[in-house]
Amino acid sequence: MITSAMNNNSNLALVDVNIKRKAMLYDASKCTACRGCQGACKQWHDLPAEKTHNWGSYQNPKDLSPKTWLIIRFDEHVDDRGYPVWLFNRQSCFHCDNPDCSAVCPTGAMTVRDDGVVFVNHELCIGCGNCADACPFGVPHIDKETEKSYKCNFCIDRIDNGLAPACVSACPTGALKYGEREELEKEALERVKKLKEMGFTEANAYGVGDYKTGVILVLPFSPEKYSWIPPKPQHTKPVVWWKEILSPLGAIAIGASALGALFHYVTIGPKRVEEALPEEEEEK
Amino acid sequence: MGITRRNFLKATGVFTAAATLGINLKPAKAKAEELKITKARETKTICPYCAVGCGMLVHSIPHTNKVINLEGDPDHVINRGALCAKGATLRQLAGSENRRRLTKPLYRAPGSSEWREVSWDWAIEQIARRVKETRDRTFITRKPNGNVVNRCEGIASLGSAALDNEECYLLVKMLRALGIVYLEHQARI
Repeated sequence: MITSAMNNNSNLALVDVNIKRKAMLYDASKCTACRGCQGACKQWHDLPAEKTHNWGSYQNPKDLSPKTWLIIRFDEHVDDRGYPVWLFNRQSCFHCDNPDCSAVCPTGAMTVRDDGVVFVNHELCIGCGNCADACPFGVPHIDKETEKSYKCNFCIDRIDNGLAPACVSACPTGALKYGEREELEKEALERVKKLKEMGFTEANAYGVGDYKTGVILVLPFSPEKYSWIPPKPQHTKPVVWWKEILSPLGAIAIGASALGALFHYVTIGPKRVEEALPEEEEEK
Repeated sequence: MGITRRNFLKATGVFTAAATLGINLKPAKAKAEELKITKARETKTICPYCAVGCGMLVHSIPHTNKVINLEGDPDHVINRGALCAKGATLRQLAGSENRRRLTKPLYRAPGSSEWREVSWDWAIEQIARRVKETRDRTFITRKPNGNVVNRCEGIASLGSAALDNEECYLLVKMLRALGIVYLEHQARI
């Protein structure tokens, strides 16, 4: 009777016992750059439009901003035969494993969930801009008016309630998929194999190697040809230094000083500030 | 086995403690965000933009009719939840979002520089009257060489991509009945 009552109550909590790494798969070879995802993202998050101008590309706006968390980029490239190639790709937060933005955040506002989603807790964010500097993909942006950092939050409200993220549910061509990371990683590698058979010799899956991400890209061309994708993403050096050397050293130092204090207390005893002290000095 | 007063109180105490723990600890740990459309009214509609006719779900606040979300209908047979950029941002067209949306027909008389609001009845009657006048004035029964043509050259029709199959059928039927031969479509321009 008691257990059944507890189960009823725990329905409120939405706790998944076996939390698995969630991910998104973006297949650039299927993307038609209709920008349905871009519009759906703005719509779901109630983000206002931005005033933009024509800068010689279909891509609009030109870059991510606090009010634009997802853009489809229209990169241009001339291939070996001299033909122009249009490289569509999707720029948004990658939801990396061990993200730099979270490591450098002084207030802990950049939160990493058990399912791999990285989101900004705006109650804690002070808008210092560390995350924007640390991100290798240039994703977080600071709004100067509200002084807070903004970026894609993987639609955590939607995925907690069993819906796919807004961009994924809007995609008409199936270029965007949402699911568990292990399965999507396999799917990405299979797709790369297929693309290579079709003649895309440079086809590659991005975010599945040493640097694991929550958004896996399938790119028909090598990452250097895209305007913003670092070919070999890595954690920023100061972050690595801070996280792997300074931070553990600090922890050791704190532990050592605590131990030292304990040792001092046991061997010498507490410091006594007594009235007798001046008298002793007088005796000397 | 009867339930004594003491046992009943014990059971109640344990039950309350367990229930309280069940409610209090787990949600705090989970941080599950509430969906903004949980309490919204859900209405089904069809995208008005192009002839594909994607299904949509409109979520609005019941009393104020303010649209808070609009997305593709995952159960709709045509789009299965997907939408293009225009469809995905259709919410901007909704009355609660778009203050510039017209709700009454406007009329600008020939030579006038101002628009004035008119009633639907008046507007529809005027349209019908002017179509009839123009058609009667410009209807040609025979070409100069004597061939019978029975056509109206004073009116042209510009169809819209938002028209579906049935609407196009009715429109063409009406235009042919008037003798109009210049039927154009927006997507051909």
